[in-house]
Amino acid sequence: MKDGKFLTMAFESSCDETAVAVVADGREVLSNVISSQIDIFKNYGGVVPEIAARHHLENINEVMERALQEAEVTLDDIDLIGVTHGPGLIGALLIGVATAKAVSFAADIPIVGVHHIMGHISANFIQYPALKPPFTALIVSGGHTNIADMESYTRCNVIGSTRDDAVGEAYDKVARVLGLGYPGGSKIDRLAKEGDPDAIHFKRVLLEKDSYDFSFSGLKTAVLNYVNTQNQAGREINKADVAASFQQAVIDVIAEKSVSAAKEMGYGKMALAGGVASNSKLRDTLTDLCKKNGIELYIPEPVLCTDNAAMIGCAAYYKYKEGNVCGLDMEAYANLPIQEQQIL
Amino acid sequence: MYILAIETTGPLCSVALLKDNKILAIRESKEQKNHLRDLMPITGELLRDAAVDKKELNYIAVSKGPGSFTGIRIGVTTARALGQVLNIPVVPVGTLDGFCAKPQSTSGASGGRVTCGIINARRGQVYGIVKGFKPGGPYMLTDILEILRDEVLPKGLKAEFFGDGIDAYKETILKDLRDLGYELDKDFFFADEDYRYQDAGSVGLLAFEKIGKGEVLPAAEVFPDYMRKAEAQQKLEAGELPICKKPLI
Ligand SMILES: [Zn+2]
Repeated sequence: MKDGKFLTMAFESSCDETAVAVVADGREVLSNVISSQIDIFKNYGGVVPEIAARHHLENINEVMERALQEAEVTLDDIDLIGVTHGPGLIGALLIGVATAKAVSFAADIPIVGVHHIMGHISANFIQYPALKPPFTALIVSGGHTNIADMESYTRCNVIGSTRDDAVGEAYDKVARVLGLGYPGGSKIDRLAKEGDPDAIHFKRVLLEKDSYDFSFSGLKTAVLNYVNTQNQAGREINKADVAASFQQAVIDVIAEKSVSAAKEMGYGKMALAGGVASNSKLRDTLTDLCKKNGIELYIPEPVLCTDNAAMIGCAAYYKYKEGNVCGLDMEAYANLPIQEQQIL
Repeated sequence: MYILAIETTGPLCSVALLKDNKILAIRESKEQKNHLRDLMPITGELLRDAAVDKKELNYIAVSKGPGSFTGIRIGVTTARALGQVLNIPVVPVGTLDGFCAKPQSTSGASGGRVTCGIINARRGQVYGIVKGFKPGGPYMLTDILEILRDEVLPKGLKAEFFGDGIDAYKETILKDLRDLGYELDKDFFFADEDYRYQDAGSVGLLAFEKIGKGEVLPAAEVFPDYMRKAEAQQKLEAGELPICKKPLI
C-alpha cells in the first residue's frame, strides 16, 4: 500500500514483449514499462520462440527495476503480483511466471495468474475509469480473434472465435507475399491508406448465419492466388490496392459480426482489445457502425492495446478482489481456454 | 554462510541448502520435467524444514547449463529474481563441472575412475566433459569415446559415465568400447541411477569453491550457458532462413 492505494505489480511475457507495470487500485497506471523485441524479429520474418525466451530472460530483471523506479515505489509497497500464465509461447511465458513466483516467494507477496485475453479486455478499465461490465468485447490480435460476453470483471464467455488463422496471422502472411516484411499489421494498414479498397473484390467469408465465428484462411488464400496469377501473367501488382482491398474484406467481416453480436447481447457497449485494435481502418469502421446502431464504443490508446503489463495488473487486481490467489506451484499454459481461467 | 543451490538442467530439479561447504538438506522434484511448477514449492519446503529464513541466505548458486534449454531458463530466471529481491549475489556453475564435483565422482577418482559427464544433445551429439582430459563443451559422442580409447583406458585408468547421455547412447558406448576389448563394470562404468544425474548438492559445493575465489556476480549479470545458438539464429547467420532471402521493402 502507498498513500492508501492497493498496488499491483504485473508481468507479461507471452510473446515478444517483456513488460512489467505497477498499477494502483487496479485502474491507475503508475508505470508501464515495455521492452519490445520487434527489431530482432524483423530479421526473422516472425517471432522465433527460442530466441524470444532467451531475450525475456536477459531483460526482465531490468524491466522490473525500471517499473518500480518509474512508479516511485519499492517492493515493500506492493500488495499483489499478477502474471500472464497463458495462453502464449510456452518458453516465453515461463520467464514471466518463474520471475513472478520467485519475487512472490522472496518478498512474501500474494500472486495470481492472469489469462492474456482477460488482460487485453481489462485495458479498457484503465482507459475508461467509469466503464463497468457487462459489455461486448472484440479481441483482435496477432494470435486471437474473439467476440466475447464480458459478464463481470472476472467472468468472460467467448461466443465467437476464428476457426483457422487469427487476424494478425492473416495480415502477416499477406504482408509477406507483398514483400512488406514483419510485422504485417501496421505495414498493411499504412500502405492501404494509399490504395483503393474497392479495386479488387475478395470474397467475405461470413460462415453460418447464426455463428459469430470467423474464418480468414480463405481470404488469405484468395490474396495469395491473386498475387500469383498477376505475377504469372506478367502484370504489375498495385500493392496499395491489394493491401486496401484485403484490409477492407477483413474489417467488413469483423465489424459486421461484432456489431450484430453487441446488438444481440443488448448491453449497448462494446470494448475493443488486442494489438490489431490500433488499426486505424478498424477503428474508423467500428466507430461509424456502432454510432449507427446506438452502441457505445470503447477503444484503449495504442500503448494499452499492444501487449503490456498494466492490463495484466488490472485483471489481476479484480481476480484477487474476488478471493482468488494462486500457489507457488503455478504453471504456464501454451493453451488456456478463457472459460478455465477463473479456476486456475 | 548459507548457500541456496538450484539445479534444473536435468530430468528432475533439485534444491540444496549449504552452510559453507556442508550440505544441510536436499530436496528433489518427484516428477520429471515439471520444473516450473515444482521449483519454488520444494525451495519453500527445504528452507522451512531447515528452519532457515530466506532473508538469512547469503548466496544463490545455480547450474547455468548446458542441459535442457527450458530447464536452464527456469533455474537461471529463478536465481536472478531471488538474488535481485533478496539483494544477494548469485554464483553460476557449469552443469558439466557439477558432475565432477559429485561425491561419487571424487571418491571414484581416488579409485582411478575418470569422470565422464555426458548430456544428450541429440543427433549423435553430447555436451560432455572428461575430467582431466577434455574440458566441457559440445562434442560428437564419438569425440568423447575417442579420448577414452586413446588416452584414458590405455593407461589402465577406468571411466565412469554420468548424465542423461547414458540413457540416450548406452548401446553405442557399449558397442564401441566392447569392440576394443574393454569390459563394462571392470574398465568402464555407468553411474548408478541414484546419483547419475545433475544434483543441487554438487552445485552448492562448486559454488562454495567459487565464492572463495570471488567468482560471484550481481543477479542481473548471470546468464545461461546454452553452449549452442538457437537453430533459427544459426540459419539466419548462415543465410539459410528462407524468409530472409526475399528483399524487404
Ligand atoms: Zn496479446
